[in-house]
Amino acid sequence: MLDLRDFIATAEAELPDRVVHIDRSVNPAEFEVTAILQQLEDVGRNPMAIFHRPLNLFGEVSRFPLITNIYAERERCALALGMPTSEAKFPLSLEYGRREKERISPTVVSAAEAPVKEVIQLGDEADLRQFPIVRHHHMDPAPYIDMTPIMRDPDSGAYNGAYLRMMYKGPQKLGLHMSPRHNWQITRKHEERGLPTPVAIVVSHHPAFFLGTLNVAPFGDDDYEVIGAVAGQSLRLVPSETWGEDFMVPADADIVIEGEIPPNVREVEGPFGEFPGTYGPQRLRWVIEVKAITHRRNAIYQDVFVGHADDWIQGGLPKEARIYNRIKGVVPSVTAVHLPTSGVCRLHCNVSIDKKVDGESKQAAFIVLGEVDMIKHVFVVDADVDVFDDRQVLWAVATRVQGDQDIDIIKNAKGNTLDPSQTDPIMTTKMIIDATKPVQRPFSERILVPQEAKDRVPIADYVRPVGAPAPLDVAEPATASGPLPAAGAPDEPAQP
Amino acid sequence: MAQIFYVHCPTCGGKFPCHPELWQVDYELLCPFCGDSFPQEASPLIITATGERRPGRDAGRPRPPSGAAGPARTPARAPAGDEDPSSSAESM
Repeated sequence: MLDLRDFIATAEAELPDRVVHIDRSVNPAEFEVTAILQQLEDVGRNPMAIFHRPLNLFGEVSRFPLITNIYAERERCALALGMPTSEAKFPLSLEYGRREKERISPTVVSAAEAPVKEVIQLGDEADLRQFPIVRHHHMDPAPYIDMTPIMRDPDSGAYNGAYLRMMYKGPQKLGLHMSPRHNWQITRKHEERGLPTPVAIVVSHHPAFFLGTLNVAPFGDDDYEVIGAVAGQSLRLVPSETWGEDFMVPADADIVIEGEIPPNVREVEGPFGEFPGTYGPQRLRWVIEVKAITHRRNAIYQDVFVGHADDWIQGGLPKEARIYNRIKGVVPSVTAVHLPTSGVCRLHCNVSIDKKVDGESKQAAFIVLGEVDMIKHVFVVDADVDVFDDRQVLWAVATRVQGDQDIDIIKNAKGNTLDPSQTDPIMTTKMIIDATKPVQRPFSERILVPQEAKDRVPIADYVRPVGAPAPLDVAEPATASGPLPAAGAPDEPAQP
Repeated sequence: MAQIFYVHCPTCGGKFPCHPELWQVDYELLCPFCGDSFPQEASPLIITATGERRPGRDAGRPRPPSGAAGPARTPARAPAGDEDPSSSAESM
């Protein structure tokens, strides 16, 4: 059974220095949650943050604590999927890809067995102002809920979940932005029939649920089955308050908001600080009319720090295995794929290959660009470069790239309208940077400190801890290669 | 985002980006800074994607009382523009 509190306990136990608690009252609607997160980020920290006394939209201390930045480090994503933190890099990507292909049927439970039904609010009682909804960036016009609405395809009956931004517009009204993807298709089908679209917003749940919604399964596949597979257990469902068994909601969620999207109604929404770290413009978007709210008695409100690592890592992780598996079929020497946070986990892709034949790197890059339209720049490196380490990738670019020979530009390709560098709403320019060594000619080898030497002098035994007193008598450590040279006596004469 | 345009709020002077679909429809814009709603024509300055700068189409026109503006004038049908492959958190 998925329970957010179990995950928090695991994260506290496994990564205690990466969880912070904020006991003083803060006002999320006045940027005070993101102000804390931004200050932590500015000093290189991305901890999971639990705010114990956030204000709600009435200006009172909310009954709901607020948790955010859960996904800002891959180690916590690994814990969410039941994996050790040591496998948070590419093994996590591969495991996500493996699970995503499977399906686990959900389990229907009664309302009495469903924690999300511990508190049920209908009609005017279902008031959004009770929540500590977060206003993230200075040009956001209102607080936004940025978690996952679930919709149901009226033809196949399949459920679909996706992260979408929802602007607070009133006690029982939200604005809703959608891209032309699965939920957009479901809404359009309802609109064509003149019907409202039922929607259940899962505001808070165990992180495995949200990671599961990021799957890239085809339209028509049931997301509840995929989410169960990604989480590694059958997802428990319960009938909704508004539509009964015609629309099931996650039984173990912390908070679910039920509502309807009236057909063919649009209102202004945005601007909103988006994933590239820039604002998406104000535009005409759908609205949601809230019908019911259900939640656990001890529910915790959840938020994603969009446009930052919390948002980026979730977006990149599920794509890495998918790209890797596609490349593997054509370039078997591929060793790893990573969408780095420096490229907002969308626009840049690093690929490493154990190149056997010149040309393999470009072939791999073409597959990347064909597989994910958002990716704009592909960096292909040799297997001796860690694609998860931007410094190593840039070192390879610095030392293994000649601009006139190793960079290819592809014009008029499909991009992403939120990329502020685009000069066309849809079309973009792609770039392939081949930072691999040539196979056909001799190439300077990378410098290397012998591993056996590192094993001989482990730093824990040799380097004095910061602040530790210097020993009065320094005894020369015996090494396998004999006494150390005297200080100030270099091995080789200085250059004139 | 080649075709966004920037609108200056007639009340607080704040500048914010709008999608081109709002250029073409009769809708009230919402200032994210002061929360005022206003018709595009009331903006003292609009900056288009091509860098063109011009005052609002009839910036001197009297404005309705702030409370009378309402959130938006909803058209009977959804305007063109829904199909634009924009993005959001869904671009995850």
